[in-house]
Amino acid sequence: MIIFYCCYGRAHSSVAAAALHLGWLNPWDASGEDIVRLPYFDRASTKDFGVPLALAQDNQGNQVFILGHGPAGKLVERALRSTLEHCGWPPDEILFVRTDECLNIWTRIGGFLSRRLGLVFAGRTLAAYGIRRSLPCLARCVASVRKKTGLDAD
Amino acid sequence: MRIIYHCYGGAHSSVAAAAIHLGLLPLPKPSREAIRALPFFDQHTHLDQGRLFFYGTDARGNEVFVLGRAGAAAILERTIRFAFDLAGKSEGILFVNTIPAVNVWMRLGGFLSRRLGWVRIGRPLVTLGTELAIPKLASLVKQVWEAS
Repeated sequence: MIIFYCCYGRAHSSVAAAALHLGWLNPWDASGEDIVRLPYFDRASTKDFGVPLALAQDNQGNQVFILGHGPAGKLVERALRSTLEHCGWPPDEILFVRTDECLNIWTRIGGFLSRRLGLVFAGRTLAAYGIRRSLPCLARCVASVRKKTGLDAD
Repeated sequence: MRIIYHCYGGAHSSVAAAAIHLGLLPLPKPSREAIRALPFFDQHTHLDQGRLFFYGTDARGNEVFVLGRAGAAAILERTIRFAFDLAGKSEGILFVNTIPAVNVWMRLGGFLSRRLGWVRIGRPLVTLGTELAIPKLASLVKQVWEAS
């Protein structure tokens, strides 16, 4: 299966969710520094909108991607799904997980400061603080994905 | 090769261009009935935006698609290229923007029919607009045909 963790910019919540999925981050014991150190955390730019980035395979062989849909929202998911299905990819082998529902105001402000205004130190610190507070929500979201993909038992 | 005709809604100019490409419209002056009877013509809604629709295969074996991409042409182009690449079919993808051929009648009719749902008023207007846009669309398709 291919799993796309999607958020607006592919810089924060999708990165943290994918890291939780892959076991790179402990949701109950992660510091701001652990979050900042995640690969691709607070790194993407607007040029990355629409292009999924492969992170790794999980223990079940599912390929985990992160994806920023930018202002195109649902259109990116439809484009990916319809193109892959046209190429013969089985529809039930494609999973989209929206992670921006777990976003809070701290990550939004931090992301805006870092990615849009270029105030990287302040923005990244604030975004990581926000993600740390979102971890319970992201962990619940990832837990349901891991069950669905056979990684964890019901 | 894969040729993707794209416009805002994927309902009119991209459909007409794909149809011209595949020889489904008699040129130089197709009837309004022929335009209205085209597959997908004035059918897609905002829920279809982003979805890639296969329209047919041309005489040279190129696959022809239509796409409604709203205001996100550059983003969706990257997404679709990535998806073909992931599926191992990355060679020869051509994106063709049909918006430059769109006229005011198509915009108005398309808005009435697709956005407001006033199909009885919007569809005849957008069909008239498409009829008027055929020379521009045909010339665009000719360039694509030569490039492919």
